[in-house]
Amino acid sequence: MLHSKSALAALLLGLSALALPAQAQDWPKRQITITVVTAAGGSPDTVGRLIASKLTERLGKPVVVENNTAGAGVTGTLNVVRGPADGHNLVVLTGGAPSQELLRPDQPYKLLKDLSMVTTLCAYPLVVAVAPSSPVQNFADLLALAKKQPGGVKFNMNAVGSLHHLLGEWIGIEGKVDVQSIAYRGAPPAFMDVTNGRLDAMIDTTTFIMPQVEQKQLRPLAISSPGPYALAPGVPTIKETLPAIEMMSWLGLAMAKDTPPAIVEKINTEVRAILELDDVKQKLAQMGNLPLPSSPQEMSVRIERELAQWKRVIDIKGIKAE
Amino acid sequence: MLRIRNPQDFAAGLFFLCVGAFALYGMKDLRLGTAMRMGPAYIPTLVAWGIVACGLIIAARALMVAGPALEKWAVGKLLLICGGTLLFALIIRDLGLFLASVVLVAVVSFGAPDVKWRHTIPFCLAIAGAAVGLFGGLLGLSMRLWPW
Amino acid sequence: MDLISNLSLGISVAFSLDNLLYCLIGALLGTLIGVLPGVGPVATIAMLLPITFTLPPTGALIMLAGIYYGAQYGGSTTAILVNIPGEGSSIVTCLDGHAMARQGRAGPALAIAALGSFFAGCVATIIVAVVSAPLVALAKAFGPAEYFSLMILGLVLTVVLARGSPVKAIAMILFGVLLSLVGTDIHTGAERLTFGQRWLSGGLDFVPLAMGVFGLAEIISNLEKGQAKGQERLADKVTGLMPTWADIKASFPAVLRGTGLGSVLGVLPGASSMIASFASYTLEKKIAKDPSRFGKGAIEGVAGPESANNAGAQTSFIPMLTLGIPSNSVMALMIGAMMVQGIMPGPMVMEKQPALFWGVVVSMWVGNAMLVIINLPLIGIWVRLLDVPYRYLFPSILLLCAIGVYSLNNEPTQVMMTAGAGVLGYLLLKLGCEPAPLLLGFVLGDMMEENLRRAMQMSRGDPSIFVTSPVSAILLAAAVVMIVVMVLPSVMRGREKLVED
Repeated sequence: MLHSKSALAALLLGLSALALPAQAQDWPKRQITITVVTAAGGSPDTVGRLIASKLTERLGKPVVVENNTAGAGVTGTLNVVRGPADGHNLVVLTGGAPSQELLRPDQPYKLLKDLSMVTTLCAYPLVVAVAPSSPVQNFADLLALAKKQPGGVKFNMNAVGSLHHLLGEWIGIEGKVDVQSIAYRGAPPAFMDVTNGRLDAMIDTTTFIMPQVEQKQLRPLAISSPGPYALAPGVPTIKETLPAIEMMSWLGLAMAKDTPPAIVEKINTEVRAILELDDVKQKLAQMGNLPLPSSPQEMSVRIERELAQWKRVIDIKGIKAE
Repeated sequence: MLRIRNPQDFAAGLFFLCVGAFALYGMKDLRLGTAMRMGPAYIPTLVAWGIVACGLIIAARALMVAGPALEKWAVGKLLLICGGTLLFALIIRDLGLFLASVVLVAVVSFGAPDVKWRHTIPFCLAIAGAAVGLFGGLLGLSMRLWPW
Repeated sequence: MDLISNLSLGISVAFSLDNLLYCLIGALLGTLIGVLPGVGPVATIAMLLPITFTLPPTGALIMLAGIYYGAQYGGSTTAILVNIPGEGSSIVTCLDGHAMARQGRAGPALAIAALGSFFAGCVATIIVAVVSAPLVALAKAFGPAEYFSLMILGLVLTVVLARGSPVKAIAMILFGVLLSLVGTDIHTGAERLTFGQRWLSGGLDFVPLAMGVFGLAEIISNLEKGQAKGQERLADKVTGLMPTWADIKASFPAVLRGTGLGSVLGVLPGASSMIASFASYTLEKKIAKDPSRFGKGAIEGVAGPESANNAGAQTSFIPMLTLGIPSNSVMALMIGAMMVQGIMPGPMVMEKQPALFWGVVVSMWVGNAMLVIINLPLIGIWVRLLDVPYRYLFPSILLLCAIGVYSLNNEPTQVMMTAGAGVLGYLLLKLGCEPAPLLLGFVLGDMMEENLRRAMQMSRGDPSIFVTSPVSAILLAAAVVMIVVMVLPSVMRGREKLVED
């Protein structure tokens, strides 16, 4: 029985191997569009354009980046979900996508159900940092300050449910202290407020924080990566103080659910090869990112794990979008 | 006796009253919050009441101080101009820039008093071609250009 | 002296043949693309960014700066010629600039905008070179409370600037603020005033609103009047391309004042160069002997705000070059470009790459000079556009607007929003309400709310934070003074009437 089942599976596999390349062979037929749901100039956009320019060279058809910030990013993603599943439309997902899905029950698509993952592109941790003049010397000091100060410590957050917000609250849960998350539209205004002491500490990506650290405008306390991070040498992890906490933000590519697997495979192979290129690695490193090539399955597993991880934080803290 | 001495301002007052009231209605389910922890509706509600107050003042003054009458509306032209733009929006994604441009220019051209078919048709085609050349060719914007 | 050696280093970099060429190409491309209605500086830079990736870092930055000035000046050109502001800071230019164009004086308006901007650019470049450091300290002194107070002052200035009834102007500002609050609230994640429409949850955008309220409404109203008079062209007969001596004499003090306002306010992140442009307009109108000329083609109303916004554009480089902080979305794109080039923006740039830093500073001046050189001859061509029969001109403008708006996001809903804003603009026109305060309220509204809520959160609900901070207190006091200045004349007039009775 078992034998015949696997024989059948092998036969099917063989058939699909014959059939699918036929679909992949005449691909790409036309221009491929990578939708980025954040504004031009941001990190998803820059990485998206980097990948797009390399893909153009390798696929022989133009690969262009289209920014669609409408509907807080939902519109652009939805266009890819609903668009033709012929492998000509991709979307750049960010590490914030799983938590957004949890906070928005009315989001018209579900990541794992309505998209096929292609590959993750890169990953970057968040850093907790303070002004150079701050009396807080290390991460433990910050937790001590949060216990002592009425109302706890003041962090910045981006919108509700952004990774900054959830990491801040998570630190609150694990460190058993109060945190107050104050909303900012992006890192620069928050940076101004932490340097002049209006915020106790700032949480942001290595992309933003490390250049400021290098120029002695911020002092890093701890980093969210599971272990020491190559692009932030000497910065202790949050995990050393609060063992439960480790997280990385990431960027990844996804396509419409019914895209032929052979095309997904093909893009996966090409992008993985691109992520091996020295100049690509170097450009990512300049932005504080490490390449994170993965299989489509690995990307799905990552999203699944993060959905569970953020659900816990959101439930404990009662975070919700009103 | 109360008499509307400034019809234009009176209408403006009513308009702002409606805008304010509509906004207040739209936010009826949102939390107000307190001055320290402002809810999503706190500031917009204040602003909407401000608009209502302005509307009342404008309308009340219109009863006291004389002013201009309401002008007639050029409804046809309004529909042509905004309708042409709307049509462009509806077809650009599926039919591409060229056809959308032809349609927009053809429709809005009827807003001019001295429109003639023999001028308009070549003009439509020429300008749609120029638009495709400029935006699709020279500037290389990533939008659909042709229906196919 | 340090400054001299720094500047001479900068001059040697900026005046190299390559960099002069990059600067020229940038300014030219920026002008040509920025002049398309609906395509503002941000869109222009985003479009042209990839070209610069292949250049050496200094050349890339110089070219981007050139594109920025060019696009901004291109935006003013559209504001003057066809009454369509491409971005916040050219709203004010529409008021008197377009009025001048209608009187056949588009040439002088464009020329004075170019010359005023050039002068402002020269002064602001020196400011960037000499006093970057203290200005950064000023920017750092601004927290949420201070920004909130600055924006309150800005909105009060808007009321002063409006013609006609102040109550109507206030209503329009509040309406603009309300429109800016549509969409997802970042503090709580609540959807506000979206009525279940998903495409509204990211909020309304400036460009579709401005295109509709100014552009479409203006076109409809022109067609309406044209039919009545059988008018074929947009403007009266053109009466000369260059400003007269009297024009220059009237403009020069306005340019000086505008430059001062713009240089200081430009350093503050946010909408400051826009606030500078209408602060300058208000100032000119207030000190004019005959304020009633404003809105009807007063050349000071073009010269002052144009100088202010160019000076602001210049000094907005200070936070970027010295702190690595973008003060607006154009600067955010610039920082992105620097990072692609492998440069970390921030205080170390000045120390580690002095050639780049000073080269860019000097090329700001060069870029401004190029703008004058490029644009003075182009004025003749732009003005010719007004000679095109209106039945050909207006469909072309509409098409450019629609494409410009669509290209922002490739989203048809934004073009629909433009059509809707056109209806709104026409309605407001018929109700005798000026659209400028609406747009200014719209640009400042959501930032104001954000800063107010942030300030209250930080002070734990204690509103005294707005008066205990000296900067905030001064700004609020200035706002109160402006209100008194505005209300006093009408109160006095009222008294005189009573006495007469």
